[in-house]
Amino acid sequence: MIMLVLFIICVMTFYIFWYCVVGAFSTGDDFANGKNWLWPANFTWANIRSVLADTDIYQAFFISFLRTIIGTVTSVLFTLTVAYGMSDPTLKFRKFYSIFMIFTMFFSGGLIPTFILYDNIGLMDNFLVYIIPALFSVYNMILMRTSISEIPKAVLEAAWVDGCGKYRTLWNVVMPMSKGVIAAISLFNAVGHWNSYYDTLMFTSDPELQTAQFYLYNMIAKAEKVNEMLSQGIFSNPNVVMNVSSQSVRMAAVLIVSLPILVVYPFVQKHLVKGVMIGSIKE
Amino acid sequence: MVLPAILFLVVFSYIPMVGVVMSFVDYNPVVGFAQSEWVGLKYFKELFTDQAFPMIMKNTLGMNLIGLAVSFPAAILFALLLNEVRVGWFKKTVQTASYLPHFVSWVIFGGIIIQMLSAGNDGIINNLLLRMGLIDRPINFMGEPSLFWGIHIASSLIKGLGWNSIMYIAAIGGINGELYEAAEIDGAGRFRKMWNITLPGISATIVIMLIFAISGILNSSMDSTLVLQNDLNYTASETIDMYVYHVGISNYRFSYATAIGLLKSVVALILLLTANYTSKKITDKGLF
Amino acid sequence: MKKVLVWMLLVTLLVLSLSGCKQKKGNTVVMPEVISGEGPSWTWDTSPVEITAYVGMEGYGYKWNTDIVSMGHLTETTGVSLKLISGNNERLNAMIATDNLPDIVVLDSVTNPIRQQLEKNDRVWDLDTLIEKYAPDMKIPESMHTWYEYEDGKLYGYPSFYGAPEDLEAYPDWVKLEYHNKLIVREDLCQRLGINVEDFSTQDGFIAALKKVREASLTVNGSVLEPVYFYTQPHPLRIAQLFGMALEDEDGNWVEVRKHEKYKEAILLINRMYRENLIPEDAWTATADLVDRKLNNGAVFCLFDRSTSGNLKALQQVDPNASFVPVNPPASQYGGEPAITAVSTAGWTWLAIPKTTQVPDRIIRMLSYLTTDEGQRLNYYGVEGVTYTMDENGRVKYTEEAEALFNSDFNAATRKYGLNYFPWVFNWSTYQRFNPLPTTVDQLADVEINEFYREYVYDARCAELVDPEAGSDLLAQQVKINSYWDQEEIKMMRASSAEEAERLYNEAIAAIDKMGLQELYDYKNNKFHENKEKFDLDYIYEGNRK
Repeated sequence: MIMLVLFIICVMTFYIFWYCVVGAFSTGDDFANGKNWLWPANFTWANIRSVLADTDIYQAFFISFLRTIIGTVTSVLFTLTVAYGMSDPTLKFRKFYSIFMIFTMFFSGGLIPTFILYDNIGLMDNFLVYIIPALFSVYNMILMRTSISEIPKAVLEAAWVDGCGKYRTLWNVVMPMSKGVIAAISLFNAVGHWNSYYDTLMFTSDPELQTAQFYLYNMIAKAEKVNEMLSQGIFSNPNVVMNVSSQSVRMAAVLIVSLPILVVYPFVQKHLVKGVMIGSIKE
Repeated sequence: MVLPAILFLVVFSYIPMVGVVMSFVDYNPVVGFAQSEWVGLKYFKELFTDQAFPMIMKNTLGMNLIGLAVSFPAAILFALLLNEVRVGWFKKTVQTASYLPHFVSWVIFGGIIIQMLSAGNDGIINNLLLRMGLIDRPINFMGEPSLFWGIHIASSLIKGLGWNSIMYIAAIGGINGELYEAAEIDGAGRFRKMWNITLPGISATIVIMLIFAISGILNSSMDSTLVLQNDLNYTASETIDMYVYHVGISNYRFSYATAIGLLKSVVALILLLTANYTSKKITDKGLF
Repeated sequence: MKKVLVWMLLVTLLVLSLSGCKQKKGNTVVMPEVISGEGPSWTWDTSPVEITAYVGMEGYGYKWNTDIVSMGHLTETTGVSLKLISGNNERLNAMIATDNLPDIVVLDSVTNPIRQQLEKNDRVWDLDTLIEKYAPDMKIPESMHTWYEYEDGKLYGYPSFYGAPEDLEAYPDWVKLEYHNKLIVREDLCQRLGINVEDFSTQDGFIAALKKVREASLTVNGSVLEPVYFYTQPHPLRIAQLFGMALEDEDGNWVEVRKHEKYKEAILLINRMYRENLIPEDAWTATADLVDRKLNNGAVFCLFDRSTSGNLKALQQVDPNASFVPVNPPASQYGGEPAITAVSTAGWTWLAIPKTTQVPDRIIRMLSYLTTDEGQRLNYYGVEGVTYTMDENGRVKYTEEAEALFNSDFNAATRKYGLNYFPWVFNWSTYQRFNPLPTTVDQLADVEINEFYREYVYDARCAELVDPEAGSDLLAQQVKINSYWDQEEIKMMRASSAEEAERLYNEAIAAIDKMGLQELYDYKNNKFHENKEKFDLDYIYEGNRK
């Protein structure tokens, strides 16, 4: 029964993705006519080739990989350290810190002050603009703190007795015991980094810093813009305005751009499900 | 260990926060903040006296409350069900499949939904219903205001279910396995174990997620509404965020947009504090 | 305690460093020395220079690459390579606030309020000065100057997609006012169903003809033939124009269309079509994609608002006998000939040159090149000798190589040749003057359709640019009135009876009056008269002249 329910959900969610896959391997006309529900009526590699023929995308992939790896590692480590610090019930001003941090989740000054800030500290058009502002996330910190505070006190005290310092305890005890939440948050971070295009759009003008997601965003935004103008009747011929890629080429781009990050999940999954409690207590 | 984070937030959050001044002036970037005209609460008043206000408020609250009531438990339930599956490959497959739609952007996802629900002869759902004899004229799903909330909530659910459950799956993974062993010795069934061990084990995560979800009740996803909205369902699909977009940002009225944003932030903070307080009283769990 | 002190010190330092220690740049206006030389101005100095250009269209971002034909050609001709940045208005605002303006700013619309702010605060160059000093050969149509000049009589930027009336006079055979509004029907199916094309000219005949199609319920290429589609959704404005509603009344005043009797009549006609089940449900939310698809498959009997452009070709592949003809639209009970507005010729994007640039001379010379016939063709057709040659009519003819690549892989072709990379200087007349002459059956059919309504088309630009200043409260009022009206209008068109539609109409009119329609009308009417004065026009619609 449970398996049946899950199977149905699985089919629905998978189908949405499958539809994109079919689109990516269909001819533009077939796809537009809705002839492909399960399998491309005329299988073609043309869309994939068309996306990969654009050499800009390779540099974009490189930047995406780089920011995802560096960004995830630094952010998870930094946030985890803070979360561990915050989980200590003896910490002075703990409640104040909490409120101080949570407050920032709700109020922001908007783009312009941020722009001025980044401009002043030299983050504009700098690769670090992908890394530094994303270093700390209050939300992730709270999730990690919750998980750390579930670790039995006895375990932490035992570490103290063994003469571990704060950082040693964090590294040797807390980290292995919070594997699940670290895995989940690494996943959130990695996917967030991979999927982000807004910072590229706002804070960089160097084409060398383009990410793969930004490349995709450009492609879709362009098509949207033209569609909007067409339906408002501003221009009669879309080709006069801008080059638009067909819907199936866009699907191919979606597929190519999301594939690398999709592969990450099965690796993370292992750590998500496996409970690590038993082992560490017995040690 | 905490101080670097405080410093970080001062620089990257508190300093730029001066930008909220924009809510109270007619901001003009060319002359800067200092010389923009001070208008006080003008933009806040404008929202409340707007004849569209009751409609957008109803849509925002209605869609979000129902959405919360459906998708919040759904993610937990999904994680719990998944936890019951013993067949390894099946579990992994379901989990992977469930999170795939998260990677399809709303523009494309929404396009697929619209195509499936189309009232023309290419709409797969209408064709199915017609063939089964359940209806005799195609239903214009996307054009019927009364159906919009349902469609929006359901499609958001499909898109986000797997992704939203990851946190719970991680939390379940962190529960001490010995508890289950002990319960088994006591002869507890599947359901009892779920109720007595799994749920309490992830309750801290649930509470925190719920508190944040409640505080975000005035936020709607612009991405999804932009794709799914059309002239016919406008009366059911226009939310506060969309209205601010239409009346504010699209018409270069950035101060208006900032003011409404600020208002929403205040409400969100109040909701968060209330939810946190209530939760502390009832479950002794909370953010601070 | 010590820690707290250190920490506070750090914060103070940071705050200090943020609060304006940075040198404000760009306060000195650079005016490079004037040079002159032989030939066109852009050839005087072709030393390499990089110019940063912000283009306010999200999704417009191209990496400059001289291997791309058009980019390479521009660099070779003028020495300029462009660093193209895209973004939205928020980003532009932030760039202005931080004094980070690039060398060229392209606003997303000529009505963007940032344009006026930049002009008012002396942040951008006037083209007159730059042209006089650095590029005396750059030509700006007089009407463009009149239309866009600032209060001081100077022109501070350059619009794209502007249609100059001068071109209409200079090239009467080629340059014509484009328009969308029309009514076309499937001629072959008319014969098959026994419908006379004359029937469409009365409202009853029109409804009866569509009903015949509905009742026949023909299946073509696997899909049911639908009586009517619109491009892209049903809208009373277009039908009211076919009824003869002009945007100007007999006294030369601006018309609030929603209160026009023919507009109401159009709503009621659409409502009648709806009640008779003649409008397919998906037409109400149709996108351009959907209507194209329906046309291609032959599922459309009659179409409002567009000719068949491109679709007939696809359609004749599935049905070689298919053909569309223009018909006289249903007449209004109030009489009158159609009064069709031309596609807006009032301009789209707006290019301005910030005073902070170091190279105003190179920018204006590049513009001088891009606004010549050759430069205009560079955007849309590429480079002469590489992608096209000129035929004996003075028209573009693609080279065989280009033609072949276009047909095999359109994306690869536009990428290789770099076509449409400079839409922000492109003008309508270029397309009309140089586009290859129609040769195929479908192209010729389009010409025939377009000629059919030509006599009813008028230039309505004076009535189009009358909206309140962007960003103003009055504009917000207009947006609110419009969105309320749109929401009610749908209900009128889909009302269950004519009486119900009429009741909803009256209620909505009363409601928008209460929301301040009159104030808006006065503003617009005033603006309309100002616009007409600029061009010494007493009427924009000839039919009003008696």
